[in-house]
Amino acid sequence: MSRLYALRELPDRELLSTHCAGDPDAFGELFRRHRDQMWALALRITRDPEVAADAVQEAFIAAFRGADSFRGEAAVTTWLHRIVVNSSLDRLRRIKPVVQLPDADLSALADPADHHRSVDIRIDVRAALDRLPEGQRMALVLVDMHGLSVAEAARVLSIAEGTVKSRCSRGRAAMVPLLGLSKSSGKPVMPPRKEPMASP
Amino acid sequence: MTAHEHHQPSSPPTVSHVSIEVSTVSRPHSPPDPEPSREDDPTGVRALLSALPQPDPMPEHLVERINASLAAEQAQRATTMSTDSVSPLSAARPRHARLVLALAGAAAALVVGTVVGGSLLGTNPRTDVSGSAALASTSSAREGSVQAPQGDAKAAEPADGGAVTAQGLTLEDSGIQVRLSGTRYTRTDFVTQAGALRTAPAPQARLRTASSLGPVGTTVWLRECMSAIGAGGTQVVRADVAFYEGHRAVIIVATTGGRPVAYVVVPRCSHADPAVLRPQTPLP
Repeated sequence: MSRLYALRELPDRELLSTHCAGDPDAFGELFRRHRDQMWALALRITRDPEVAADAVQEAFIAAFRGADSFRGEAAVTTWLHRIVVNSSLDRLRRIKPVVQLPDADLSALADPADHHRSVDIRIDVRAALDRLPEGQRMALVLVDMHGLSVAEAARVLSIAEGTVKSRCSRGRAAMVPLLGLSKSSGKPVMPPRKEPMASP
Repeated sequence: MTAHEHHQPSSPPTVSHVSIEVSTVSRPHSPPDPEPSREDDPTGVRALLSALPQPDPMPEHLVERINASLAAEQAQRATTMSTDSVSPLSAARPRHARLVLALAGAAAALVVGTVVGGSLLGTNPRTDVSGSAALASTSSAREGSVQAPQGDAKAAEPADGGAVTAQGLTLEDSGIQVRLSGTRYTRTDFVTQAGALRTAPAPQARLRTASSLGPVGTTVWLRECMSAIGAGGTQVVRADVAFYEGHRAVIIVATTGGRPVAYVVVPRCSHADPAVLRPQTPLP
């Protein structure tokens, strides 16, 4: 038991190198340490607990097997995030193959006249996210929902920081009309959803 | 992609100072900023997204499932490491080992030689195995059953049910057999299936330390679990890491005074939580 306790004291990098050296328990400690975080990420990406469960399991197994590939230039958590992102997206694509849309400005898709109508066309946040191109959606998931910094999200996604910022900005802008938010105040302008009137 | 291809132990990092890695780059359960400034995001979408409910921690069943998968990976890796250091095993074995582990999908266990008659919990059998013994599997009549390879086993065949020893093994009396079969036990067929476990032939075992395979399958775990479920003092134990009604489970058949009783527990069975899936079932 003292050996397991000693593993708990090791930083992530040493745990990983200890695992690569053959220690049978080091990776288990890494899993224990980061499982909730990776689970949350997989859920946020897939929005389906079953798919997320498969994705995060696949990710940890891939990390176990590919630990030697960790070059150490980034944090171990960055590496794990990257694996989970790839595994989650892979799972999603297997379920629902999608055509990769360019990072277009989707605000044009919303009818500007809608927000003047009394009919409620409110779309919840998740549905709105679903309508974004994958790049913008991933940027918002990592930065706005999962709490990564722009720099960290860039490392996870292996893209430039400027690209992350741009995708975040465009994604947020695209979500405004989809969520019925006022462009100036960021507050909803749509009336609440009206319940259907009961028949007399 | 095989464990052979993957596992190449790397040399320890050559750093001249100790660096403590603190995960400051992500805060999984808190919004990025309590009050994102309007200049950062005039749309308000970031605040909206960051205010969404945080996911709960990973569910316990998923933790167990992934732990089992990692234990299986570790078992496979351990097999690879041991075959690298000892005389080569049959070419078919690593593939069979993967097949068995894949079929079982559960934590790997070890198969221990048998002694009939000794008290499991009364003595203090040392089942730690050092040396170069390896987990082995061959085809068997029962799908997924783990048995020892034929031919190059160093184990001494017990003539009278005495202790089996293998190279590097120090083993006192033990009535334990732990196997990894992946059998899907069911409520309706349980008595028959558990009866088959009880009478399954003892494999000729090359042994492997169980500590590297995780707690399930070790005699330490088994001893604690059996004490927790009220089966202390048992003379002969057959345990099978498998499934019960679709749940990962360990089926235990404990025989005392010639009377076999079967139990089903989940792998987290311990003093604090016996985690019984099916209470004791006397067998014919």
